[in-house]
Amino acid sequence: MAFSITGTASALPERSVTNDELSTFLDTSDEWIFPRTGIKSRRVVTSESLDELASRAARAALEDAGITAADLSLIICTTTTGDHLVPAEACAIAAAIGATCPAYDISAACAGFVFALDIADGWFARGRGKHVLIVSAEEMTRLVDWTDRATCVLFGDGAAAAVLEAGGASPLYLNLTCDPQVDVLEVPGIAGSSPFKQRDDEARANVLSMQGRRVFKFGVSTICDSVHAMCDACNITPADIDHFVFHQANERILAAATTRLGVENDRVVRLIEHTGNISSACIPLALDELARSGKLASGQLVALVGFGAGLDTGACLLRWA
Amino acid sequence: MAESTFDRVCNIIRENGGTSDVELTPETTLADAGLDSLASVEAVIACEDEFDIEIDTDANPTTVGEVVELVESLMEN
Repeated sequence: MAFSITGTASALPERSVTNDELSTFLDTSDEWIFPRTGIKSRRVVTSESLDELASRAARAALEDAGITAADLSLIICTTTTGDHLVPAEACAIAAAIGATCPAYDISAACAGFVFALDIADGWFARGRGKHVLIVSAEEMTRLVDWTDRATCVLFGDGAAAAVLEAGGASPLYLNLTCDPQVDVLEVPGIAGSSPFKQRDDEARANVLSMQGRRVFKFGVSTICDSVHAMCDACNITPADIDHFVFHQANERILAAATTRLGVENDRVVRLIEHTGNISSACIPLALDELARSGKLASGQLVALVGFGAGLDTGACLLRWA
Repeated sequence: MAESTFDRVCNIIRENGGTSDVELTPETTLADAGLDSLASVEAVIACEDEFDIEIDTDANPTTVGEVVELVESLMEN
């Protein structure tokens, strides 16, 4: 039992923040940020809630797929930045769209969407249902240190969703890996106020920290290794793949990987310039933009590679329905 | 005559954002060669492709000579 993606959608915050605007309160500039990241602006949550963005993307994806919330057998939300730690963000989405199926979150950082595809694939293989909704929703701007010019300029907010239907030709390949390195990219958990706790977790700032050089090299290597592995497994070459949808962490990671893979630039989807890095929402957002651009035709091969904190990587080869 | 590893590394540095204004020697730091931290990683990645080696993620060469030494040590293995 395989699946097809039958609907996609996305919802971004209204507010766009340019590099110039960041330079009004950070010691940075568009001249510094753009050449190093490929980012000109990012969407940032102001008055919206992440619940609202996620639910809007979910509803639109259901409409795109031509089904209703009652048709869903499972909702998975990929997020590390939900409006709720408890209940799962997926439960808030279920409430908003009127679904009563099981709903839960997964955390695989920026690779979350591909990890969710694997869960859905198993769900279908076990005959548990016909439709699964995956919503990737991130409010990264609540995690970043807004005094750290090296990291806060990189991220943005948004949500994107995909409806999967049991049956079809995907995935042709799906592989998940972890190269466990916690300190390379980390956000500490809640310190809490237990009177019994003896570890000094309170001293750790509850913001994102990242070793940029290591993430950069990991990103380029894992994209290329993943594409080569999927090609070997499927007995094809990168030239046979119509579209590459990689996690949008930094344009220079995408550029280095594109060069190393030897594929044409126009086959590698880019949206980072006006969104920044939206963690797990990047891949479904890019898929949605690709689907709406008219460039995605039935039968085409689409390679997805998500990578991020963990260090987790999820790679998937889809045959578009 | 085949290009030396040093010459090939210098070419990579220039192709990855290094300035042409500085004469590169083994002692030249990557920063003085015009590479910021991102460009340094890109140069390391380009060296991997040029010499068909894999450089450890934690390796952090700071001079042209250190890059050459790193490349040559990995090529010997």
